Amino acid sequence: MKILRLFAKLLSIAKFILLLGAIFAFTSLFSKYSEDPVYLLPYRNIDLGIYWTLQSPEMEEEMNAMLNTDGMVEFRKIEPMVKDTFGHRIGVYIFSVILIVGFYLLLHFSSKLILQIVEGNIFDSKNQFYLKGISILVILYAVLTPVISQLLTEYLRSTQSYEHLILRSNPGSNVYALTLGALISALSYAFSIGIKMREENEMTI
Amino acid sequence: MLLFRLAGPVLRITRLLIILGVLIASVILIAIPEAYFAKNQTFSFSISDQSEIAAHLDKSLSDLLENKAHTDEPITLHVRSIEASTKMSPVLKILAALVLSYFCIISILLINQILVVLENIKNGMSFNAQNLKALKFISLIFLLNPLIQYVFHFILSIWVSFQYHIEDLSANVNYDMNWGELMVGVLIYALAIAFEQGLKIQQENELTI
Repeated sequence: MKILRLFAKLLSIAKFILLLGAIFAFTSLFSKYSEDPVYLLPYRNIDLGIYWTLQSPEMEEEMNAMLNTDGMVEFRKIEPMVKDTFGHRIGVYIFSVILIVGFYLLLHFSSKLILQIVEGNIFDSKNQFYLKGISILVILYAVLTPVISQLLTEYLRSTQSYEHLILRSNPGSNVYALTLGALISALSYAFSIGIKMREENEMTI
Repeated sequence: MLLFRLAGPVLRITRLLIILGVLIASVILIAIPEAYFAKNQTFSFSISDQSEIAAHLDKSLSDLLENKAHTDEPITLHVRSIEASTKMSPVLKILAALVLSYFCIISILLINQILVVLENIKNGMSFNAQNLKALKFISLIFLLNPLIQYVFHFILSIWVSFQYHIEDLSANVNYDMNWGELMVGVLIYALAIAFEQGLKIQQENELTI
């Protein structure tokens, strides 16, 4: 129980660190945009799975000759970073804001729920609300990420295209998050039964 | 309600596909061992910013792409990461087989336990000892899996850096701890405690009746 309480406190702290980090990142990105170009690609950092790969046999040969690795390894793909445009920056900002709000709510609901359980207020309507919130957020994340990734990739393809450069979009499988969302949704349903049981129990006493 | 009713059949199909995949892979491994593994294994390497290679690649890239870009805005490109492939060594083959077996076992165990919980809740038996055991097991998997993966990637990164030491390049096999999975593990453990309490209330109610 002590560990759970500590974990709930850590989640509450993480929530504020997330907000502070987000404010710092946004201000630094805005100030940098007016000064120097910022190289945001590849997007792997924010889980959108969009990246550029360069496929050029000339450069591959050049690399192998330059590095002289005695045939130990052979260089295949080269991933360049491309200067970001205003449009794609806005896209990334919007996605980041959605993601930050989602993560903040997830941390908030989780810490509140764990604290309630530690304090013995288990079958409470508030807890059911937190669980429903968590399941909706997890399912939304699983469904929205590939959609946003595809939209941003299509936008980038329509505004930037280079010979020898291939824009790839691979946001990954979200079956894992969907399963988790379904499990938490089932547990929230079980909580509603638990609330009724507790009420019955109290009435009997 | 609809979502978790739908999740049951989807999970059963997923479990069946994993088992079929493992069976097919095992048959191929026994029949034609040399065809089982890909001939080459690909690793990603980062290039040091200040290195000669980085400067040379940036120049080659701008020469290569000169007058070939079709974009609304002026572009600048920097090469900071490359992928290299190497022949599958016996050590890599064993590692690949171990990783694959580990993921299959963990996935099947997790799916089985999730199915137990979903089925019980669907049948109106939310608070029972079976669900409690399953929830504790699920939380244990979520708590241990990121730690096991972290240790595995740590060992792999040491092995790759030792095996493929190339000046100005560093292999990208570093793995960040999956804090999200740990958080889910703790959350499900807390819910298991709540279910334990639910079981007690249910038993009290039954005794009163």
